[in-house]
Amino acid sequence: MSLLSSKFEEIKEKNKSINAYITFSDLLENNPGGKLSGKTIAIKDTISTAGLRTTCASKMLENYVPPFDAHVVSLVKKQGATILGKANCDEFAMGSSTEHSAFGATHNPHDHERVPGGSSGGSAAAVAGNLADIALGSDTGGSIRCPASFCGIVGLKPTYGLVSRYGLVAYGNSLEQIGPMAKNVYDCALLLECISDYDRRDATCVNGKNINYTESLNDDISGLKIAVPREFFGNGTDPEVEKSVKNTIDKLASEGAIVEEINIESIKYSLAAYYIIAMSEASSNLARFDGLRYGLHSGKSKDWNELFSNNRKSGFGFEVKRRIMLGTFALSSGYFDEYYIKAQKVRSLITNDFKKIFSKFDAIIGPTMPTLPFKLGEKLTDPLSMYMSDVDTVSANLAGIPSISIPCGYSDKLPIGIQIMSSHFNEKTILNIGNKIEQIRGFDIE
Amino acid sequence: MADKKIIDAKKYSELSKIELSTQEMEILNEQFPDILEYFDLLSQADTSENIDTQTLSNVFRDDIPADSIADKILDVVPEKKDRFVKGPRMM
Amino acid sequence: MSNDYEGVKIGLEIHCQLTALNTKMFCNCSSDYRGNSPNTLLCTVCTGLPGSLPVLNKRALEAAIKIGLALNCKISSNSNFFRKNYFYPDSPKNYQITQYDKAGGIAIANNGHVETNLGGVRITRIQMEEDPGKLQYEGSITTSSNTLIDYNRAGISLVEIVTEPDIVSPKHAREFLNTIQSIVETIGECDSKLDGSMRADANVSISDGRRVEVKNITSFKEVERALNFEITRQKTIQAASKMETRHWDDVRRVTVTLRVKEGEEGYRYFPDPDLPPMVISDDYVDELRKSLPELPEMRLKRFTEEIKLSEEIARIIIRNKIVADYFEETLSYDFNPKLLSGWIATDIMGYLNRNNIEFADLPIKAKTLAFLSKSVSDSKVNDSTAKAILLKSLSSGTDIEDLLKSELADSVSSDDLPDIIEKVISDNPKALEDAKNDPQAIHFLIGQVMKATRGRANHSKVKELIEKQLN
Repeated sequence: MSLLSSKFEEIKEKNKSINAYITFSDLLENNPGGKLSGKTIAIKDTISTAGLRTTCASKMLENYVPPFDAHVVSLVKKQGATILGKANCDEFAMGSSTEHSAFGATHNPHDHERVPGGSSGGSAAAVAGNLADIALGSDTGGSIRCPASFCGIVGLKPTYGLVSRYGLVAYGNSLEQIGPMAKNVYDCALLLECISDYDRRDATCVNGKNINYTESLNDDISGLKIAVPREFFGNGTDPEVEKSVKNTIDKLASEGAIVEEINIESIKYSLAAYYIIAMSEASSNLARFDGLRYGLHSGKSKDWNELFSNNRKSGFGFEVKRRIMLGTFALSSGYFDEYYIKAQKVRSLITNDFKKIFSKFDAIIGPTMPTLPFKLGEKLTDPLSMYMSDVDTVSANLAGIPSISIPCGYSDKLPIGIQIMSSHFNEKTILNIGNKIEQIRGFDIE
Repeated sequence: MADKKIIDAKKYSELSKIELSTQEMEILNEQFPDILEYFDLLSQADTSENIDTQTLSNVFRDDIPADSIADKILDVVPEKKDRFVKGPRMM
Repeated sequence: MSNDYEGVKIGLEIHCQLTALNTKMFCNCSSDYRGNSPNTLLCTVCTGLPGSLPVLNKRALEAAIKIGLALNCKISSNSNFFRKNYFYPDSPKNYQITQYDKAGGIAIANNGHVETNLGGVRITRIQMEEDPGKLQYEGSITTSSNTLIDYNRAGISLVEIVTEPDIVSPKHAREFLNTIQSIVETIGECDSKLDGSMRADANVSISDGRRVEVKNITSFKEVERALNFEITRQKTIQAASKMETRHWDDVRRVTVTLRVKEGEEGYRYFPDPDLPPMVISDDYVDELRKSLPELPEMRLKRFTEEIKLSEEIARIIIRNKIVADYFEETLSYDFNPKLLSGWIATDIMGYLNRNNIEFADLPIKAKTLAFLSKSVSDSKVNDSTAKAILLKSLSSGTDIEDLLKSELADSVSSDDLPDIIEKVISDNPKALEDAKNDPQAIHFLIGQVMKATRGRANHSKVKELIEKQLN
């Protein structure tokens, strides 16, 4: 017990330079027994923890202490993990760099002047910086995989409906899932096993699809058919990233995988479709923050109209405001058909295209991010360029398919991630391939 | 290229109940056209085929009452009067 | 009278709470909120806490389908939930989970119709939705410096019944509402006696004028008043020039312009991603259809066709299930439908309405009423005497059986009649001669006997005995 608490002081100290955590737990609980016993965990601050402040990295919830645990939190507690604290993120999960936090940006442990990725940047930095063994993040358009790639760790976005969203503060609720983040595939699989229990409190949660994900990690991958879409190596892709990812794919081929380059036409529409849908849903999901029942209450005002507008003006950061406005626009009469409805139709198109691909292939592989981790502040003035960094990850959210990011190389000591996707509820395959990559890539993660 | 789309930031700030400063409105009015232009890419997609991707349906729960956690909920309410949630005047 | 309502078109939106359910629509909080202290039946879902998620109450779907069937609607084979986005202090999420009829939205039931005494009304659709919380003011809405919010009602299951603008007058509206009331009560899904369990908004237009929505009609009694006011107002300005929403002030008895609320464009309806759609099989609908009790309209048919009641009387009786059940119970003791229906529909209902008494509080049991009617059937007393006994019992609270006993004791027995008849005939010799020639003239003699007995003789017995004398 004392070993853990002295380590905890160390972690708090180290956190000062990385800012991975917003809130540390008051009390460290060390429950024996359970699959996660002995493991320390960081929980993204958009996931509700009873009695422990949950801010969503926003002024709006700066002092909000939830009266309930998210389903996944009660599960990790049950399995004996020790919750160290709440991890920093982009405000309300809106961002790809963890720079849009009301509690300051998180720094990439590999290079403190660079972003850790987002929106689950705090979770990734905590694991990469040895401030936690494992972490929970959430992924709406790449928010687990992006920081996993930038921080050189493993991050998995489960199939939509595998993990309960009860307790996850909603951003894009038809797109997002809570998922595991860890240094290696085994721990990632173990954490996934623990959090994928069915929950009746989430009507979008599918019963009976979870399995023991640690069992088949070492299965042979020879004969697996892998598709490599050319669209994932588009114009904005850094040549170092492309080289590292293609190298890794070649290694998989020499292990017996059958690799084929393909085209997915509809991918080019995925970013626009994603943002329209996510922002539309966000504009509705965040309407509840008016200061009456919880959260920031800025004091007296003329009437309820003014109170709401005031509270939300003070509580939300600029990126959140921007997305809410765009989402409100996309849903409003006159634009609804052109934007929201069209985006949903494109989404069906992409989903169907993936279905066709997975009838012939076992997995799709490409880079997680088109670039290496960029510098803090680099993309802040141009929101569109920030949005563009999600270009390789959003399609998995649109289709609801599982996807994992595995560290596959470095360039100038900056991590590169390779992304593996498969069909619905086929986490087994992506973990299997990921596990193989870990074995053949030629380096270890410290 | 067609005229750049304008979003009336003031109108949407009222609809989404977020008061914006003049500066914020200016920035948004400047940034929105480019973002919308990018979104307009979708108009090129051929979505004439009717595709149904719905999987889950008929998810229900039973009509059995659970204990109320009203007191816990009231604990996080910023302003109360007796047991009411206190709000500002209506008009 | 008909000219006053010329060109009037009224459509109604009726919100019925599903009062038979134990829990709210999307969470397991108890739905029995009346009489509770504020904010005692709450959870993360009905207060919209971040991270909360809705899950549909299966019984709510069942109830909505049953109401749809009872209103002769087509039940949708696929249905879904949409979000109606608007900010208001009584709305915990600042959106309402409801159903929509455009953009891929499919309400649970469509295209029904309901018959009333004053004409049929088409039902456009029936949709499921959640009730918001309740707002209270210190004083009035305009003077209160605070608004006090109680979320106990937030999330209660509602079914909204939307009609075509087929209603042609305030009276028609009232009649229609009563009909809906009796139907939902009969199938047991909405107990309209509970405060606030049924509310209505109206859409009123005159000829080519625009539609004006009138909200806050707090009770069905207010409906006629509110509609009459609004119709007069519109006729005065010669038809409304713009669509607007007005609020009925039941104290000042006027409609006033509400603060401009979001029009339909402002609501930004879209499918709720948290709730999977409902797929409703024909078998399930049939199962529910079979489980429905006899509906008022069917009972009306039976009353008029089999029991041969007049439609007017029958409609009065079927309006409330409790009244119709009472009537049928009396018939089981004494099958005298004409008499009993008349007493119930006219005398009893009239008395209860004048004195604001609920039918459930009627002290006269069905068996007792039947006992009274049997005494008429058995010629122990005549109709008018029995009616007098009934009215006396209602007003004084005295038991019918006691009144009947004393009446019978008091009445002229058949043994005394021959003497009385003798006397009357001897007093009116010419009348006897007339009666021998003209059968109708017998009534004068009967009348004299009745006068002599102060109405306490049995009319048919007297007639019988006089006829004997004639032969």
